[in-house]
Amino acid sequence: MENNTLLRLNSISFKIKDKTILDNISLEINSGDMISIIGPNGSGKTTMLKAISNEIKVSNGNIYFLNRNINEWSISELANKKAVLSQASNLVFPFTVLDIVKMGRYPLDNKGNNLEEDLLCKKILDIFDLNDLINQNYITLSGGEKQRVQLARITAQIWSDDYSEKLLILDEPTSYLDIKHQQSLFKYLNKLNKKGLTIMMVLHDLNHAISNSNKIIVLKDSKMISYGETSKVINEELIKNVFEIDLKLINYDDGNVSLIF
Amino acid sequence: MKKLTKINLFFISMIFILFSLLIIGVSYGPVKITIFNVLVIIVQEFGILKDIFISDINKIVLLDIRLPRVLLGAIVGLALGTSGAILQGLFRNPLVDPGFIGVSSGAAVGAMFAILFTQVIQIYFWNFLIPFILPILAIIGSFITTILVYKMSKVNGKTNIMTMLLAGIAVNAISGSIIGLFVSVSSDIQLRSFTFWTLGGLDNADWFVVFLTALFVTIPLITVFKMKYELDIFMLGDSEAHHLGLNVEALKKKIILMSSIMVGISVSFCGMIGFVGLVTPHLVRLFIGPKHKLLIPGAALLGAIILSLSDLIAKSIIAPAQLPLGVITSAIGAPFFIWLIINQKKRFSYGE
Repeated sequence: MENNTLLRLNSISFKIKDKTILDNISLEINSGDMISIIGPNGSGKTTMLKAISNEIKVSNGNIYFLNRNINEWSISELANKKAVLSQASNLVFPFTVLDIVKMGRYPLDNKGNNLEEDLLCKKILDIFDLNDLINQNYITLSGGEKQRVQLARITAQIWSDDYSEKLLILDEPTSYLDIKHQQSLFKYLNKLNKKGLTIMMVLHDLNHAISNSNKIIVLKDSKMISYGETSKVINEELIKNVFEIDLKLINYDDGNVSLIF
Repeated sequence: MKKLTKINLFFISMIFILFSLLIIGVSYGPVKITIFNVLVIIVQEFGILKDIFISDINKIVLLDIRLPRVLLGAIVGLALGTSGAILQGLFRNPLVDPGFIGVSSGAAVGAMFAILFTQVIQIYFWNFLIPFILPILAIIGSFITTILVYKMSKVNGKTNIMTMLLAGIAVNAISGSIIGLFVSVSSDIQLRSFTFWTLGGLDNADWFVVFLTALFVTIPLITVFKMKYELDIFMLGDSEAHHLGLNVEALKKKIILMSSIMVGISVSFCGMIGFVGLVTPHLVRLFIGPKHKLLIPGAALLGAIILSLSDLIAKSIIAPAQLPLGVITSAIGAPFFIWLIINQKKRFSYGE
């Protein structure tokens, strides 16, 4: 895997009035990384994702995406390079599942209107186990089904032959998903990552974070406490300090690690 | 394939119904003109079938009175239906009507301002601009109120139904009092009737008004139709649309401007005709779904149908007198609104 810098944060801070939400964070993310951001509630995880995805402008510092200041990118250029799953999307009008997944193809300028596009969208719907719901009204779906439709939409957006310059940003992708769909989601994300896609996600389940990312960012009180390879970052003491809980860390023979609370 | 035919069927029947209503609209009235004669008169205007005899009264009534009126009704219906559809999109809320949220009354205030101060304004403008002052001030009026209500109804980046309706009530109250004030201090003949402004009517129709309205409606209609995919994406939410590469703020401004132009021009010549903008997009979504590629032309056609039908009822129900147009549209629209409220009670109780 090539080690090009995809994203660079240069001492970024974000403030709302006097409240600091992100405090002087610097880091580099390489193409092909799969990174989890963990931290307690209110530590700035979602804000960090929003800053990286150019949804909010940082108060101080600079963000470079593919060595170009993120402010110099146009909205549509960025939409071709990265896809973002936000928390809970609410629709009022009765679009069908297929309509919404096709919207993911909008940045590619072909508006999802030919046979090839149709086949691609159906393929993606299949990945997320939505085949039976293709023509279903989105409003009538359950929370987990809605989440899978949104995941399918951003998959359609990021879909490509060459993932080396693409970034997938996920804010709590497992929300509302049952265990089966959580498992198949991570299986699929790992598959995309092997093809070269860089993935950044906020995860609440620490075991998910540990077993599905090669690097971990730990945030607490708006500051970055630690950033590095998963095995080096995760240890009992750090987790206890950050989350203020008791736990046990188990090392398995195959090198895997898991936490018991 | 099956769905395609359903959509085709919808549009074919809409066009057929609209065309029939227009023909019935021009043939019906104190002077009866048979449908056959209507067709002959129209065809004769293009220089065909000149040898069939039609009385001059029939010709004058049809060409100078009824045709402009019926066409104005269709164009205004088209404008109200379309602006209802895109305003519901802007607020991401199916309870929006240009009337409820104060956009129409804002336009009325602008229009009355133009009428009252025409003489003052005339000094500062070139003569050929005079006819445009009325619609342009109405458009400015509705533009200001749309922005006001939109900004007021945003709570944490989302529009809240409650705040939106309350903001609409407030803006409507302010405009209402200004309208009342203008009407009572004015001796101007065009301002005589309060009912004209609050309930609307097509009595101002002449060919000049028809052409001016057509011009001011066609341009936004085309612009709006060009934004069809953007409007779909926008329905996902501000942040989702942004991440799909859409310039969200620019789109919002376009929606507000285009709907202001359409509502403004309608109100300036026909007063405030309520509920068409609420009912139309709803019914269209029910039949052919929420995608703007179909919703925009569908709402335009159905809006024209509803307005033409309402005018026909207004003319005939107490003939030879006629009811204000807004009485009919409200009589159709208000029960529909009640049905909507009952239907959405659950969402109301969560205050979403």
